[in-house]
Amino acid sequence: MELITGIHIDISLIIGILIKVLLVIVCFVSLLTVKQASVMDKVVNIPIGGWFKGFSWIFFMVVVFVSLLIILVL
Amino acid sequence: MPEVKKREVSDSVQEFGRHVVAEVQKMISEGYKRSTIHTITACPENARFESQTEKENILLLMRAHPITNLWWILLASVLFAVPFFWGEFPLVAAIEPGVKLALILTWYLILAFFVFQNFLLWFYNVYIVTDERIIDVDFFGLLYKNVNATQIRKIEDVNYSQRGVLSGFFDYGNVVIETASAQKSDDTPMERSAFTYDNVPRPDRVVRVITELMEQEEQEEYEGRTR
Repeated sequence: MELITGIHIDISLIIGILIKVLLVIVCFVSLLTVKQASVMDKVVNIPIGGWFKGFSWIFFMVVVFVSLLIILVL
Repeated sequence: MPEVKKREVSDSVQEFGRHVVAEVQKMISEGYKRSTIHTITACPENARFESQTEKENILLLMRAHPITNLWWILLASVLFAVPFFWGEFPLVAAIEPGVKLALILTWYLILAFFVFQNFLLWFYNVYIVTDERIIDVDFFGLLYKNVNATQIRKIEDVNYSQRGVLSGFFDYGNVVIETASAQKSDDTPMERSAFTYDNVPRPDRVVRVITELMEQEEQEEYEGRTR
């Protein structure tokens, strides 16, 4: 579909943009999760809490890495 | 009682002094004193909470029964399988392979986030009974927490309820603790006590522990030994 001259809009383009927006949101909320895990560990200090904090950081890094990869390649 | 269990109980009593009530001692002897990842732990080791005082000891650390996580585990399992079948839909079939791969990656990232978030909320929504206070720690969503605490001597009434097939089968229920003052809390409606331990395993034993602590507190007050 060519709504704007020279720009061909198809389903892949729309889904691609939606994915990029979603990934930015996921990046933001996973950063919030890092903060959340830290607050939770402060409120209730359980030995395994440090592991969850570490996991939340790993999750954030993975999300950022995948998001950058997709945003740059797509 | 086996020798190891006996030693564990006497260690806890020595560690916490006379404030370890009989029911907690019994629970320790039955093997409830385990690591803090269990849903109910008597005298947990190396566990602390934010407002804990120097002389205060945690007697019980609880969280909701694992079966209450069933809904999101089932939902996550269904959502995990969705990408295996969405190729059947003409709209998804029309997407370029590169975009489809990005869509699958995004789908699983969001799913992982959903699982991690629900697990954290279950794990850290804990209920604590110390030798001086009861504490209800509630986290909702990403950035909202609500911590209720009250002195044992302010407790007026404690009861529990078990509703439904699952709660009867897995032996969990809600422990409702009424205090002298009307507790107002953001997370509970006006007619409900701010100290409601939702879906805790063995609610009967939790009630017994709190009742024994109330009796102990009364005795101390009578003898003028209140800390």
